[in-house]
Amino acid sequence: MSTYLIPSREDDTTMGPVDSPGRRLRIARQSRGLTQERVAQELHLHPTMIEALEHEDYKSLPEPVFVAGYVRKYARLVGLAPEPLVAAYGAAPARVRTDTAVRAGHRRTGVSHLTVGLVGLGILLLVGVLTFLWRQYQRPDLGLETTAAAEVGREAAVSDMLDKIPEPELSAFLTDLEDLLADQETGQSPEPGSDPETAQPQPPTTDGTTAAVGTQPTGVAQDTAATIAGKSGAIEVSFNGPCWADVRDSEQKHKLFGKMEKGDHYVLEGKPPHAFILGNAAAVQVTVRGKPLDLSTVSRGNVARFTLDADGRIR
Amino acid sequence: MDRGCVPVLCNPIGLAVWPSDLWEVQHNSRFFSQGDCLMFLRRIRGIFSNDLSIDLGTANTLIYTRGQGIVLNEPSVVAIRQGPGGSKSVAAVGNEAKQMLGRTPQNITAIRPLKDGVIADFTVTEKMLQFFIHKVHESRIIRPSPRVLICVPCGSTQVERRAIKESAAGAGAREVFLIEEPMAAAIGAGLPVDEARGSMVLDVGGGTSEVAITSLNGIVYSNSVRIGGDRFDDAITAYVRRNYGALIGEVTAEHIKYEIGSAYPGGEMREIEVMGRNLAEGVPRSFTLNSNEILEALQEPLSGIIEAVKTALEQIPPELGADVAERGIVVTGGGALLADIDRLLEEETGLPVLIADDPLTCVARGGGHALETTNERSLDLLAMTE
Repeated sequence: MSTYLIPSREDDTTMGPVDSPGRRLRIARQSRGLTQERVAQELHLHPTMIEALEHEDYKSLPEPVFVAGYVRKYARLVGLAPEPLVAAYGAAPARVRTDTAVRAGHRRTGVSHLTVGLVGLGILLLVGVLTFLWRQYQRPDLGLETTAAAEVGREAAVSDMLDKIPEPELSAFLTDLEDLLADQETGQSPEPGSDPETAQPQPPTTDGTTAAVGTQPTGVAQDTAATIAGKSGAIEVSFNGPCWADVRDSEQKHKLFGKMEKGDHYVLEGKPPHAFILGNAAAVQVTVRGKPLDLSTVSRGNVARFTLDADGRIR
Repeated sequence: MDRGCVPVLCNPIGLAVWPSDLWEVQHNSRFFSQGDCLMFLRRIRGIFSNDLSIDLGTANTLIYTRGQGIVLNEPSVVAIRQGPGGSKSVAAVGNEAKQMLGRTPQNITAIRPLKDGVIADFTVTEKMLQFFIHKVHESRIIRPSPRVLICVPCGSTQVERRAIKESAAGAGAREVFLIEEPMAAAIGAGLPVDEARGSMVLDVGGGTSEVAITSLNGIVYSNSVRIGGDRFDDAITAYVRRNYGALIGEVTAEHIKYEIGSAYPGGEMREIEVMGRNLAEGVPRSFTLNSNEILEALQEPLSGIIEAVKTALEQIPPELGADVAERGIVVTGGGALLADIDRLLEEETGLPVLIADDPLTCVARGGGHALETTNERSLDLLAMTE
């Protein structure tokens, strides 16, 4: 028993560092005059376990949970603060096993995060592609000309017509026009029902020919445009206020789609019959060959739904 | 058509198919049932959810998330508000609801949906679980649908286990596994459950105390007694009523237990002043209690736990008994925080008794470790799921 009370020098050399937890426990035990057997009896442990604790023989010690418990009890018995000792034992190699288990868990977590990231990226890409396709689908191939474009087209058609008129006919027409102007100058009133534009007083010019040439294309253009409209059965749609419109031709291609604003004017092309859905029928005027259509017959609650056939009749 | 191909068709993004899924699909009469679609949607949502281990305790519910540790530790209390038309809604859950316990107006009822470790109110438990699952996923846009492992008392019946499982499924879990509490506690405490060596664990919870001896990833012996923290509180309430003629509430009794509760004499004498309603006068009066009185009050429930431990030691095979005697008994659960409970058990059994590190979270942490290592350990640990 005395061997435990008075440690030999050999014991000191095998104990490791001065402030190691095992050594501190041993010194505290000896200072209280306790033997290993006595401590083992108090703690209900085998004396070899106490020896292993003091020598920090981790191979002989059980799992960290047990070691922590033993150290706590031992420290309390010998009047030491248990937690620093438990921490000192916990930092020792005995915890390697638990750490490995935890690391394995973390590795799995890392893989799981990578999977989540990849799947998330894939979903984002898919959403992007779907949005692009949807927008492509939603943009209608209207094939429309705006008012300005229509004007440009009309002027081009007029100049073509002028080029096609033979020179004698043109000069004859100019002569007639000069006569007409001469009549106006003499105070003769224009004939009723005559074209108002041609009846308008022309500004006095020094060169009558130039003036005549300047006025001529308008009349021709009007006639030509009317002829073209008459031949093709052109449908014009004017908006006097905001209106939602959906107009499709016989091939189900969108000719007009979306919200139109006040002042918009469109000339429809495409293969008749055209199917119309107009959200605010009161704000729309549809003209077929210059004749306005009465939309009140096809409106229900200010929404007009109708089909306009090739002859300009509502079905 | 070979039904074996169904999981592959339902699983176009290559998620793991669990054996239990195969079982379910093979027993499904329709090819693409509504259940399959729901399960598929849940799996998609599951990608954005964390696997959870839930210690659905009588007193506290703890949630362990893989890689993050304990993310929630709140009392298992729900406050229900009754609307004017008789409609019920959840007013508060967890800490907020516990503060209401015993202090509610007529239209609010603060209840504890679990009693003795099992579900006493199915609907409320489901709501509570739903709240907690959402709370640990609160930063997520997509509604969570995690894989959940829930710890159940080993003494619970099949009906009680089914109720817990369905309650978790109703709260949005995509897959629910059950694990016996002592096994989870042993893993969480760091016991060598996978070795061919007996390890004894005593988990003193809020509603039950579980004692078990584990070896080779299995439970050799387990016993559950319906004695726990709640019984300690009741014993203190009864003692105060009997000796002081005063009535104290559940929360006050718990506070006394925390402050001056002790399981073994000889420690420092501590005192606490408490307020209770004097039964004779009918008005609140304050009085002082000391730790020896509480020790006396706790004798009856503590003896029940000691009896369970002694019975376990009697019942186990001698080899395992020797292992336990050599290394000791590990105590986990909230009851382990009762002062000197280890000394009491040591004196009664003559074996070393140790308190686990952070005993309150052992069960949830153990469940979490089991969930993390499920693939490696196969389904040995979770063999009792069905």
